[in-house]
Amino acid sequence: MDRSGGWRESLHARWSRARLETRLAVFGILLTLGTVAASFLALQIEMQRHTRRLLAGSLARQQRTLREVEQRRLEQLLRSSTLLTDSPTLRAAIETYRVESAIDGAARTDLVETIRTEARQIAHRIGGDLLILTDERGRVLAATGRAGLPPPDGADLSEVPAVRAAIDGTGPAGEREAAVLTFGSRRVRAGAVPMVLQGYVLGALVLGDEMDRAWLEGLRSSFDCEVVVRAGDAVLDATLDAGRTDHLAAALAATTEDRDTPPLVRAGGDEWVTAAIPLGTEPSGHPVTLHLLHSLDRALARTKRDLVATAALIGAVTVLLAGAAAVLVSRSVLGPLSRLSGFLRDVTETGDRTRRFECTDASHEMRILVGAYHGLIDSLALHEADLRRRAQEDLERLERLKESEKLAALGRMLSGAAHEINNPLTGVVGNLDIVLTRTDLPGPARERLDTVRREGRRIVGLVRNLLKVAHREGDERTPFDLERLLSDTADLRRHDFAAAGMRLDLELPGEPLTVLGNEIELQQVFLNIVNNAFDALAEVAGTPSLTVRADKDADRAVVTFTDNGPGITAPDRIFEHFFTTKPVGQGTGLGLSISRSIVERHDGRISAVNAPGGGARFTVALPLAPRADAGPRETATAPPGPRAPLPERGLRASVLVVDDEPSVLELQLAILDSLGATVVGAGSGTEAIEWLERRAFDLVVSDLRMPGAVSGKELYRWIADRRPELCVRLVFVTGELVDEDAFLERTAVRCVRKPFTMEEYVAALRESLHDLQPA
Amino acid sequence: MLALLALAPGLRAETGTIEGDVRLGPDLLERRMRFDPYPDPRRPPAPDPGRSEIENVVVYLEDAPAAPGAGVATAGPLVVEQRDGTFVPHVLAVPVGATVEFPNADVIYHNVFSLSKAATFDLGRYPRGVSRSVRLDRTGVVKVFCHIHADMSAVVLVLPNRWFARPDARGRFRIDGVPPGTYTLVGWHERARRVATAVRVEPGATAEVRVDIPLSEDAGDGP
Repeated sequence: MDRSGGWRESLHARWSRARLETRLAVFGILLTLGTVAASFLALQIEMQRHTRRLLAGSLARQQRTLREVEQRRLEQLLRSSTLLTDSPTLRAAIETYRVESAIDGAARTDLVETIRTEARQIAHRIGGDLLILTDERGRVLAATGRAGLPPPDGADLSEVPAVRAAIDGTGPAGEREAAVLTFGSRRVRAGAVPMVLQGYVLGALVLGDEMDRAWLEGLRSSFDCEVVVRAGDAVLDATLDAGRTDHLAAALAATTEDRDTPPLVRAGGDEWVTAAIPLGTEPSGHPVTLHLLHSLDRALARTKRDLVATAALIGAVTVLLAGAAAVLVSRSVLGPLSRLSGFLRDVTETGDRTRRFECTDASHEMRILVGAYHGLIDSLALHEADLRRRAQEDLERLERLKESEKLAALGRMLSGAAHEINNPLTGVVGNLDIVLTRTDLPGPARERLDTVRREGRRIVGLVRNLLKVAHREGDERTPFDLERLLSDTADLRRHDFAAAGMRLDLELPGEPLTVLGNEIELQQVFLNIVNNAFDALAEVAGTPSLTVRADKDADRAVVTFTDNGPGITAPDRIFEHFFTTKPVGQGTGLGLSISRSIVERHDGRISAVNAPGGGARFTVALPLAPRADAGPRETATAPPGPRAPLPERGLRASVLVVDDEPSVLELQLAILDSLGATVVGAGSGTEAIEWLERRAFDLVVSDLRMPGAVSGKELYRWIADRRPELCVRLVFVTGELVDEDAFLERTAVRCVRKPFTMEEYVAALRESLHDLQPA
Repeated sequence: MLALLALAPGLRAETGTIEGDVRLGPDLLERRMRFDPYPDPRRPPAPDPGRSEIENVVVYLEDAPAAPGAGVATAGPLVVEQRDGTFVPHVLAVPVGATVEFPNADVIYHNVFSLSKAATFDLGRYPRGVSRSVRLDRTGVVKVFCHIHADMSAVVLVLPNRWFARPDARGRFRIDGVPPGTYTLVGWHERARRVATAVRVEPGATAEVRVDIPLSEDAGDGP
């Protein structure tokens, strides 16, 4: 039980794991075998039926034929008997014998011998197994035939129905009158006809054939069937063996006769089609019947053998064909599948997901599968691109954050430094301005003081530039001269190039190339390219050189950086994030990608190729600024020159100046005093509020950043709260550019940035006093 | 023959006469075949067997003394003719010693032979117009056949005396000139049992006898 269960499970598992090809083949073969077997069975049943019908038909014909033959034989016997007994000698002998034996009872031997001779002659002519001549009373006169058969002379046959019918002259012998004579175990089928003389019956002629084995075998061979002879329920003889005969006899006894279709008898595991032919009646009165028996098995044996052979042949061929078909079909499916799996392996190994699996000639299902694969790959690619884009964005954001943090730190440091420088510088420059307003200065002294003021103002410009670098002004675009930026950038590294024995050449057009953009960012781009070139040229023997060339091309400025270095390994990928050819630890692979994003933010383009003559060539193209904007802004940003207009009129107003830096406070007081204004100075916000509570002022000038409880902002809030009309008359002075932009913007309070010139300061105060609207 | 016999009582008045009726029983008639095994449309149907068979009966006195010379000399022509394929008459009774003629009246050859103990002969074949004869010197039944035509047969009954007769179609017979005495009268038919009846003949008188032939051949003895 367990073992068979295990066996079944293992078969099931093996079947589940089997290749489709095998499974299809096995399935096809089994199906075909089943079909062939079913058709074989159906065919066999049909043939059995057919054969049975055929046998029955032929047997019925044989039965009819045999009956007819028997009938004819008797009729013929009757007719021929007239000829056979037509011997006048025989008749004379019989008649004379009859008459004389009736008279004196003594048999005349000569007459008897005559009769016997005649009988022998007849028997010789007819050739039957038995011939008997009887007298008119049915007693045997003469008998001849096979040894042992003829009855003794004088034997009484009058009780034999056929003989009785003959000597009674009641009619021609028929089936019913056919006699079966028994002589011990031997039987003779006999017919009897009367011998007639002038209307009187002289006696009977009995002719018979022995129902012996030869007769039976003759019937068997001529009808090609088994033969059984029955008398009543007893089997007299049969061509079959005893065992089967016994079975058959019982079955035959149960069948009813006189049907149109011969009865079917089942006996001994076989089917028999039978036909019965009455042979006559035994002396005992039992009818004797001859049964013809056709064996269905025997009739079918040959056919069955042929059928088996044919079925086996056809089955084998069909099974082979089915198996081959299954294999072919499965191959047509599995071939593309294995190609697909090979393709997938290739794709996995190479990672090239852009490849497509060609299957235009594959089956519909295969195309669906491949279509699904392509869809999956496409969606993966889209997803990946999306991920990559997001990662790049995150990276850029991070980079910008890092950059801005760096810059913010730098800015805070520079801002602090500038603040510290600004206050004394404001004092120096302001006081010089005041001194130089005096007309009584000797010429050489004025010249020297002018020089001092000019140099001081240069320091002011330098500090402002420092603050500009420190303070990243976001995406604020300003027009600037690209030539100057390039030359500044080159100057930054010129010393390093010279020191390394490299040439750095600038080829500039000589006219301003005004570009609108963030100067600091773009300088970073150019510096990056120059740095890369420097690194690349370090490996070059001979004379390494980098040529920076700027050109004007329609509305674009085009800058090319050409070196004679080893060139770029992968120009297509050089702008990707984290792509670097530098040894690990020396480059982040971020420089050029950030450069590209900066250039693209400026609506420009950056590209890299290998120059035809070797070396790398980077090209940066940037849109030129519209010319109308360039002029005024350029001059506006220019540091104020020595020819700046001095205040021509005084400032007649009461002004409150608040500054925690005593020198700056003193400078402001001096300037305002020189203009004739009424000035009150306060060293802190708290003090200023005290003054404001005490009296009214036309103008309030306050430092924005002050220590103590009240800074510039608090002061503004106080004024806005208590003296709102004074808000527009408030001017802030500040040394920082970084922190308070938002505040200034929101409150729209004027602001003068330290270090300021006297002109700037006065102009701001006047605007505030006279023009109530801010500029 | 009857005329000759009739003359005798006239000459010798002391003789008597036997008259009688012969009747055939149904048994005998039934012994005839009731079917014709050799049907031939050209043949006329067989004559009524009941009527013709009565003529085949012979009545004779078995134990009458043979009158010297009686019958033999006066036998005249005793003829069995062969006509239409049959012997006519079928039955002929003759006294012993008589000669019987067998003329052939047919256009075909016939033969006359006998295997009987009373007379064994073969007259051979002969054509129409030829007649051959045989003298019968022993009493008994002489069956006569034709060796050409198997169905032809005749019976010549050779009797020891001349007191015999054949009944007419109605069965009447008459025997004249019988010496007085008591005799055994036998009715004979070839297929019947011998029927014997005792008869007493008175001179000048007529004895009336009735002969019934019921006739089962099993009974009785030969003549």
